[in-house]
Amino acid sequence: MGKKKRNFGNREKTVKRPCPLLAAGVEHIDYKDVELLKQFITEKGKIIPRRITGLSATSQKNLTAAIKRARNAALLSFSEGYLHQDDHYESSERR
Amino acid sequence: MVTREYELMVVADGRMTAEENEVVLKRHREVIKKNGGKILSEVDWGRRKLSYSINKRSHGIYSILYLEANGAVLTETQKQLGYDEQILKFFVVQVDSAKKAKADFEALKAEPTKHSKLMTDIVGA
Repeated sequence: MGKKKRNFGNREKTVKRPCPLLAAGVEHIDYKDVELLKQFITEKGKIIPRRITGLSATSQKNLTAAIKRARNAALLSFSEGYLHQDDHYESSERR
Repeated sequence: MVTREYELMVVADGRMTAEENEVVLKRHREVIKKNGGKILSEVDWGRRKLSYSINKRSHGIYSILYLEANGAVLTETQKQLGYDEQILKFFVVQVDSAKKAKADFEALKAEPTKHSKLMTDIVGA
């Protein structure tokens, strides 16, 4: 059996989209810019992957670093929607 | 030792008044100066709600200091900040130009929601 000739002609052409941050002129991503960073995290506080954000490799790398710094500064949370140890403490105290 | 420009973020206990916070900061300014560091400028970010509680505190007073310092100064400053019970968090980030970093931050402070619609603008959703 010979190899089947693959037809690449029918494949959908991929459209290259520009990096949203670079297009908007944001070259330096500041960790203090909470409103910007919030758009790149899920409701649970996770960082949205590059295949969804569509950022360039450089932008995504800088963004990830900025988000992690912001988490450290308590500007963003590490996780959202889970009962925090202290919250539990407060609620048990109220009872 | 090489002298570089740094940004120092200090998050102090939110239960303190502005005056009490000033006393705490003054202590650390002296540590920096005494060790040969230079404070280029300062920006006060005020009281903000913390995203998670630190030492059972829900609010913090954010201050940003721009320094010109070498490694030895930073080591000593960070050590002293770590000892201070009024300080919840601190960290140092190296910046290329403290002047530019300060200008950028002042702009951000004046208009914090500048980039809040950036992604929706692009996607058009």
